[in-house]
Amino acid sequence: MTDYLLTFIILSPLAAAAVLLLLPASQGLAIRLVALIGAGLTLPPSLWLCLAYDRARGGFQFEQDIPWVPGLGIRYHVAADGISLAMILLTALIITGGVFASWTRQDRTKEFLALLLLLVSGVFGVFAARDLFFLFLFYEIAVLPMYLLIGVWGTSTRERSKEYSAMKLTLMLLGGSAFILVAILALYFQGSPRSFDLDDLAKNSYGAEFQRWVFLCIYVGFGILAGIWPLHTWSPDGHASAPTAVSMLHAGVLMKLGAYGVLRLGVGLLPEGAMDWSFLMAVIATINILYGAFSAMGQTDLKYIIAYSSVSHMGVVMLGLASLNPIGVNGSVMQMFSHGIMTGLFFAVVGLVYERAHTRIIAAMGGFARRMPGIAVCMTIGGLASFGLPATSGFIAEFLCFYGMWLRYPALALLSVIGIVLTAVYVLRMVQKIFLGRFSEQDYPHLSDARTTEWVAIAGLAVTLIAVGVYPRPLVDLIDVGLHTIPGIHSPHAVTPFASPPVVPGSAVPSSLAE
Amino acid sequence: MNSLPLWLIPLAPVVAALLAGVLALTRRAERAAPLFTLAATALSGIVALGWIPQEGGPVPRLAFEWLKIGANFQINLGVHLDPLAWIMTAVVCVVSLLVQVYSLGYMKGENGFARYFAYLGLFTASMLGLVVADNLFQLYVCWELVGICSYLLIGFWWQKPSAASAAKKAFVVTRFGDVGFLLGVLLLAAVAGSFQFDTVMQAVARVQAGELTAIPLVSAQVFLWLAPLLLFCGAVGKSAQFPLHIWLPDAMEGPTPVSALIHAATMVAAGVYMVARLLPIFVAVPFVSEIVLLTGAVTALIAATIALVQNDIKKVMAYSTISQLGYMMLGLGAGSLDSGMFHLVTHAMFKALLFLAAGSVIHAMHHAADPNDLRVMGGLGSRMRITAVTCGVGVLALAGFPGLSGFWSKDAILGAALDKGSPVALLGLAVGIVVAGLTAFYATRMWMLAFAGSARSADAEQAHESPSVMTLPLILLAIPSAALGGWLHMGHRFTHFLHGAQAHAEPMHLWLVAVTSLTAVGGIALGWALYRAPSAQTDPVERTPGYALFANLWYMDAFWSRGVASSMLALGQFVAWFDRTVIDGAVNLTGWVCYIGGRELRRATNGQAQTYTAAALLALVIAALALILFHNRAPDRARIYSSSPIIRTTDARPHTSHSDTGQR
Repeated sequence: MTDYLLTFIILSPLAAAAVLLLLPASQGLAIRLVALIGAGLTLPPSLWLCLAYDRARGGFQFEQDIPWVPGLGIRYHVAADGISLAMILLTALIITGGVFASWTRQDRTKEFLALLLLLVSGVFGVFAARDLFFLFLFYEIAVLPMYLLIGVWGTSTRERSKEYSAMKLTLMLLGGSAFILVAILALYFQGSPRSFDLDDLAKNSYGAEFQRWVFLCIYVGFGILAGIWPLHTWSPDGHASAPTAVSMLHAGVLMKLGAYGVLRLGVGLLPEGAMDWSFLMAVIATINILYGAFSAMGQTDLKYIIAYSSVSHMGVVMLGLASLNPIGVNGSVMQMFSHGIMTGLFFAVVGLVYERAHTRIIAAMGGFARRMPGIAVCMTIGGLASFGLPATSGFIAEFLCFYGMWLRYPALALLSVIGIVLTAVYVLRMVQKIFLGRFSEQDYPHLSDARTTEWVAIAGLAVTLIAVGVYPRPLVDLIDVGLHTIPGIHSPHAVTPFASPPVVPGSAVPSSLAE
Repeated sequence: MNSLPLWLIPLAPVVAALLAGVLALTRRAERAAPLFTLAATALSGIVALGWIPQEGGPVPRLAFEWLKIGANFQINLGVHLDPLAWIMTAVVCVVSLLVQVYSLGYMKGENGFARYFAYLGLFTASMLGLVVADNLFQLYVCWELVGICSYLLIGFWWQKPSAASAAKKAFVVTRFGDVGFLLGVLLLAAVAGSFQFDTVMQAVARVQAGELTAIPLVSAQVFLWLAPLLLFCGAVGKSAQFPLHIWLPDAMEGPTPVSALIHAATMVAAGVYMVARLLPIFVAVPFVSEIVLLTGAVTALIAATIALVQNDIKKVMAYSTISQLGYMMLGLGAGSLDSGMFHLVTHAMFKALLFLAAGSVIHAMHHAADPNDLRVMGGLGSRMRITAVTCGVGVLALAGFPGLSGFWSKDAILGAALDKGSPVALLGLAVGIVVAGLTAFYATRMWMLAFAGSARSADAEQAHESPSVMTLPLILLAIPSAALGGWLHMGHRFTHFLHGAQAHAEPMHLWLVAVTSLTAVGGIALGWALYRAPSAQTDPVERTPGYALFANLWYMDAFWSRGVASSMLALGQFVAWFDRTVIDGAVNLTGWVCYIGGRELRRATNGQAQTYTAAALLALVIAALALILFHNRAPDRARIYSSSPIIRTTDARPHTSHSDTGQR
């Protein structure tokens, strides 16, 4: 039965989207309920799969493999390992929260929710796909609805219109898709017999030159979506213009598709290529961390602060990835999860604040905690996770990324750690400007705390941040098992030679640890 | 003996904090919140009391595998109660308990009563977790957690903009130090392959002996001083040492009992405790211990001079705390674990007492425009006898009056500096003696301004003694402030407790005792003489040389706010501008080029056969020229294509595929 669950997770939002199209637009409640069911039905199976995953066996499980176009070697092949499962769980949490957060939307809700659900089906598909054709198909399904979602339902800022943001986002991401397509075709034509199946592709051996350039294509193509510097500028404008649920989903989950792609296709299939470029990746990741943090510090618009913080945090993801050792890459996937939840929470809260205060300029706010204590608490928890406070998921994720990087390029770890103080500066400044200080009754007479459905969204995400932070073991173990399916991370190159190497698997445990 | 109950030491306050937090969030039965936290803190203390380390007995150690990646990367959380940890546990439990009792009165009727106790419980739990840690990871985790509790409590009255700013400043400034601390943890863990204290210290010893040479980034020599200095950055931030001391005076925006617990007795001492815990790493290279010593001496001196000229009763205390923490670092830098920790313990008692006494004064003065201002007090001694007497005990202990607690521990530190005897240590000794005099003077000044003479304002005239729930902790703290130092000194109890009965304890130097006693008594006498009948015109300290420097805090706050903070924000604005203009400009330029290119190229398709023919002719001529000129290169190109793996696997012949694409 569990073998069908992945397909069920992929199809559940899609089916709900189809039902939505059949409903009359006047049926507001029915529309919301259908969307909620479509999104919410992904959550229990996602959790169940995480628990049911056989950690002793490892590898890819819950497999379903149906020939699709046999002549071209295309198969509908889905399966999940620990990494995929962590990402699927993240997506299920965010989309459920996203539907709750858009509960009070009034304008063309039906089409909005239908597109959102379509998009999320694509996201689930990418995380589960084992066939490059389907992976790419799902990837495009996940990217394209964004154009409409931002262009139609977005909000323009003083400088940038929503149409501009939507167009920029779509064009830049499609530019990335071109690189990905080249890489996929290169991989396809390299194999014999030709196949799009990742299992088959993993069996091939690729030459060093091939690995180097195809990896670069994958890194650039998926990297654009992961927000790598200097190809990140679609993200601040896009996230700032998008409506709440879309920002949540985009910053929370879609950016992870980029990092996931680099990890699964790049490091997974082309480990030597990854080695060749690991220094460049680490340098760019470090730039991302510091540059994003400084940019966030220089913003006045709340949504731009959050958007640039995503640029900074995705830098941490890529930093851990570039370490190419189990600790760093585990941290990287943890950070994907943690940042997904955290930024989803951020955008949800920002949406609530904007809806009530009708401004996003933080200098105009102040003392809001008086009227929205619950929102203030949730935002602060997100902020704490953002600068990596222990007992929130952000801490262990960043700690592992920095530790992993320290074992590979200590100098870059040294530089990037500065990010933790920069993040604290802009997060605490933001919290102070919005929620603390004097409250002006005249300027904001109608502020109120979150409503029931909104509570579910923000409190659920905040509790997740803390739960994972206090006891990250289940998630870390799940990811750790998943990492064994990625040869690049356990290859001999990936281990930094130390006298007492903390990263070599299988060697004797130091006596100090055994006690 | 089954040591499992030891888990209760850090966990009981966590549970209590959660329960209090629920009350705070639901706004129900807020007054029940202290019951949980008080009971939990008492429970932690009682459990610790049952495990007083016995000489030669086993050190209880509990560990829980919190995280594991691969075979070798493992993170434990645990409880480890050796004598050093036990002393700190005792201090934390005692002060926390008394402060909570005191808060019952001080915070009565305050908005957010349950929230306050939830934070206090969380702080107590984190601090106890820090104290009983047996590894760097847990130390760092709890280090950050006490930092965030400090942030929450400084900003407890978050409606006040100054409190909100102070909270942010405290967290950010200490985070500067924490960057170094985190890097130090990473460096040591990467070399040792473990976070456990003993393994790390063994690894450093092995590096020093030349047995362990593989170190990331740096050479073994550099590692030996870099690692402790990185850790020390954390201690400088947390223990408010120069130049990161600027956050502590601002932290006085928090409720006064919080200042007593966190910003005097326990959390700010965490840096000292960390250095003490890892002292073998710090003394491995003499240069490092000298930096620790000098930092302590400079901090002690600067803070003491600033304390001289403060008129805010809590600010005097805050700078005094910084100065005394400098003393502790001085002792540790001299290589003496005992003296540094000894002063930590006695200081915790008398400084908690002083802050709570100050709180009692502020409580009595709460109608005044600025209840903290010493200039509007005066004559409180006759109206608040218990506060005045207990505060007097604290002042004398702080001043190092012979026989009281501060005297013994301060003397141990100065003696340690003398025993070390290096030029730097002797310099530290000289500074220490000067600071002892300054301390005696400003402490006396503060007491005289508040309690002696006659009332200088109507508010001071109407002041009356605080309720007994507040005075009881004062009395209970006055006893150890007076006697604990002497008791621990007798028969070298403190040293023997830490290191066992065989440990050698340095005898006191009698001439040094004489000098410091005279300095202390002289400082007290001078303060008494000058402030016995304070003139209404000017404060005598305003006539001291260097007043401008002291009153402007040695320009350190200006340096940080105008220099560092502003340039960071300016850099932020520059990067934001750069991103918008240059990077985004490049993106827009690409779009613009495509757009303009399309618009211009559109003109070519004008539908006229003449134009098309002319273009075709031109292309033919160019192609012919190119073929003639570059004909010889053709084979090279063919070779390149044939070696390309992408093309090679297709079965098309290299040349054909090339010319095919060329024609299209």
